[in-house]
Amino acid sequence: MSRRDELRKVQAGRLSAQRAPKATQVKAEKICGLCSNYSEGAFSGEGAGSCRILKVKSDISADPPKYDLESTDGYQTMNLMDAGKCQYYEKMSFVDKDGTECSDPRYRRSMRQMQD
Amino acid sequence: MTAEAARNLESVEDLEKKQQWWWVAEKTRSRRLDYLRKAIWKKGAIGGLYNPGVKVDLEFGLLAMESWNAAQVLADPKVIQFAKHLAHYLDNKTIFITDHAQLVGYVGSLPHTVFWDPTMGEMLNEEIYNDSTAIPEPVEESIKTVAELCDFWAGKTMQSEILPTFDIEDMMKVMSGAVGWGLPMSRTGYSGKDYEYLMTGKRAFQDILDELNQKIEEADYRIHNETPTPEILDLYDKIDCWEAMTIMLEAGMRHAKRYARLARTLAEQFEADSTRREELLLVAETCEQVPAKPPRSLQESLQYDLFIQLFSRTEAVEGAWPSRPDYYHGPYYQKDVNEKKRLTEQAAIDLVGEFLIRAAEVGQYKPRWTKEGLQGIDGTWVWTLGGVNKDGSDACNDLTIAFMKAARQVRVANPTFALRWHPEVRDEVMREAFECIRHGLGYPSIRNDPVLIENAMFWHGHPVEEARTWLHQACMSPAPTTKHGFQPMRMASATANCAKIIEYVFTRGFDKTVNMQMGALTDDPRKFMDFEEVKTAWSAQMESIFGLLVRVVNRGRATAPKTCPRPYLSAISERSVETGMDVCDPSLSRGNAWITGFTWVENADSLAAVKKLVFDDKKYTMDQLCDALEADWEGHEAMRLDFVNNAPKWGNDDDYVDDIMVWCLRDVARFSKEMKCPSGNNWPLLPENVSGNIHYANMVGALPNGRRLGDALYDGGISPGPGLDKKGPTAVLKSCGKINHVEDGRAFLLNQRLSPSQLAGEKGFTMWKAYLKTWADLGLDHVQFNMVSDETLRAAQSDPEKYQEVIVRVAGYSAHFVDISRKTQDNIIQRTVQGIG
Repeated sequence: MSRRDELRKVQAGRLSAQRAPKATQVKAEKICGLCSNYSEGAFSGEGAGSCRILKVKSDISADPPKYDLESTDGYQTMNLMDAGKCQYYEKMSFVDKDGTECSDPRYRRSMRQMQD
Repeated sequence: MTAEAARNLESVEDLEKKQQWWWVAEKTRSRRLDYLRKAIWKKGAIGGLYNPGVKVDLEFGLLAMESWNAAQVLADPKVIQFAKHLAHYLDNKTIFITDHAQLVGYVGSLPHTVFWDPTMGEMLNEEIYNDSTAIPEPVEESIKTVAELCDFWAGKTMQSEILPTFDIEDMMKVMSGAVGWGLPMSRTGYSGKDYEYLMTGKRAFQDILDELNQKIEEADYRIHNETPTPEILDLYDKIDCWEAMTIMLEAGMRHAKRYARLARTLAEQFEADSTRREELLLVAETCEQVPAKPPRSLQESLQYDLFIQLFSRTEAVEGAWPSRPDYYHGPYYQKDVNEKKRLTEQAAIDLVGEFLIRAAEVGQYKPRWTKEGLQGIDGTWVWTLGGVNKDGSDACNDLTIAFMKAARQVRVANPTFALRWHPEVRDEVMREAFECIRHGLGYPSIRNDPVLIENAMFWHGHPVEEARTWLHQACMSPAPTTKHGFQPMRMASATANCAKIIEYVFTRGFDKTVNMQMGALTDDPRKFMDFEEVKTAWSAQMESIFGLLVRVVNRGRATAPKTCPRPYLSAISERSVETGMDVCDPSLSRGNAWITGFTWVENADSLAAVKKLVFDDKKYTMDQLCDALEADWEGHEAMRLDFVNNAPKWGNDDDYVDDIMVWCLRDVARFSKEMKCPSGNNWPLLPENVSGNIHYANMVGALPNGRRLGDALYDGGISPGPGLDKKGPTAVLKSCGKINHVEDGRAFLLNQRLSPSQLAGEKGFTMWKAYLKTWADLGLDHVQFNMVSDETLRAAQSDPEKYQEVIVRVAGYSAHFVDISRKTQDNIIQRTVQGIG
């Protein structure tokens, strides 16, 4: 698969997540947004981000999960992605719980679904 | 007795002595302004979230869904379909008139709502669905409505339309958010306006409509009566475009008539107070006149402008509000106040103050990156005052002064002003500007008119008469208001997170935050033998980042007329009315593009530190530096402090680092002339920041200036790092004066903090003028001031309830101090307070 194809796949994943029917969304117990290896992107109000460990060909929703640690580009994922099967999941602790601070995306929870 | 009540018993003189200008304003403004000022909701966000009580407006989405279904049946051409959505909204949206108001119109359906157009993009829709505070009550029911709207528009939005038209790799890099902002759409960004066409009293909507109908008739005749040749092929699209424009203008006029009817009904059937009844009848008369016909009075002129802006905000998400209000409304003030004496000065100030309040209350739901980058405000409404007429004579008038007086009374943080200073500006005008700054508004910023006019001619080839019409298209960027000179849409995507340039020199273009290869694959920095190799890598990374952003925006601009037409903006633009082409068509524009350079100064300070400590003093090797940066300076604290304290820093009149700054800018200027916009014009750099320095703090890794991941970046433009300008204000100005403000870039933001106690009274004004003389003599194009003491800011941090009205200049805009995040507050307090004189 060419790099352009890989990137198209990543973008398609992101777009399909944006287009998923909202009523069916259920939050899993372990989600990427609660993992210390997850980086929220600057655009991530909609819930997108990337993994600092996994690379683009990974698929943590597959059974068994696929882990790519070699490719150039990072694994694009979402706050609410079910990370229950991911062996790299590490629960983070939050500092800014009301979401009014900036620039600490790894330590904030402004999203409704991530409130306590 | 509460502390607040006690304060209200204090005299104006006592409050002035304490420099508690917010209390002074409350005690001295009219009852009307006091009511209206307190009746609005703050629409800026604190960090990622809106203020409590502000809710997203669902009405547009529901009405658009209704009209979409109807439009599908009709199978209209896209541009007409879009115009019909907007018209349907304007015809059916909820309208209201606030008590005491003389000006009417709001972008949403209720005062506490922020407008949401779900046809814009899934990404924004998703964010609203996820929002923890802005869903209107009853929340459970509203979440279902939001979900329904998200589901309905999924796959049908502008975002879905445009994304496949871009190069996949470029788009992934932009969407990572690491180096640039926003989607390159012509419906999100900063819309310029053809004010010379629209605001000179020569025509209004009905005149344009008549012209459009004639154009349609002529084109229709040609299609059906001429011998078929390729000559007539483009007429089909033009007719569609013209027709869409007529739909928008007619809808705008009908919308105003709805307000006229509401005001008349309130006056005749509900209002018991005879004075208010007369006011409501005048509101009705005003809305019957404008926007259909040209305004005849100051009230009509301001109302006309307000309608123009609100309609534009129905069509697009606007991050800015380009305006030159004293210039275009000034003749009406002159007629009403000075000639016909229909208004007293205070009555005019009430109108002007209300105009500021109406603008301040505007709110459109913004994505998180905008909420964080523009904390405390909805967008950068930087209104341009003063300047010169087309013949070069002084354009300041009595309304220039009235606007500044009104601003001190209403104390809104948005809009703010920028004063086009030139040598002929009267002392009276400068005094008003000084008073605004002394009262802690943080505005007006001062712009050097002769320098910026020359700059507009140099970079974009605007003829001098057109260059002299310039206003701020966003916070800093000059743009003419003329037929071919104005820029219909500045897409925010050409906003560069410049600190990434120097970061990527050390990572060979790999971005650890987003885990992908973003920049150029430059040589291994560990093997650099001299500073020239560092500069070469820097240059390659600069070209890589700027090239990416420009490519994407160029593509967006080129495809915009088809993917994101702007029928309303086209209808109020002479070039589109004349040609039948969408206003964003690059062939109609001279081009006025620029790259906004966030987090810029880190480059000069970092390069200077590398040169000094690695190559000149040979205190460290490149290997050691690379290790330290990779570790985010962890385990290298002594070395980090060396890079902070013992390397030259920009802003101290030190040629060592200043020469590096100038080299960087000139290298960019070279590339700026090589890159071209779709209109064939240049892409100069404009370093400034808003609150991007905070937003990007966690996205920029360790830098050689000693900064760690997560530390706030500098406050931007060419402002020295907070607390790093240690040699006084003149040294700062001298450093900045080494930059050629005409040829080295489009404009350069400079933040300065001054002492409010030092600058009190007449002496303070004299000292400030002397400072500005030095600033002008050195040829700087911009400066803006914070004049609020540390004591007040610290008190506001510990007791925010008591200091709700304290305003600060952030960077390119002002905000109420309590409406910005703690990290941003701290960053402002850290800025050096300069003593002058």
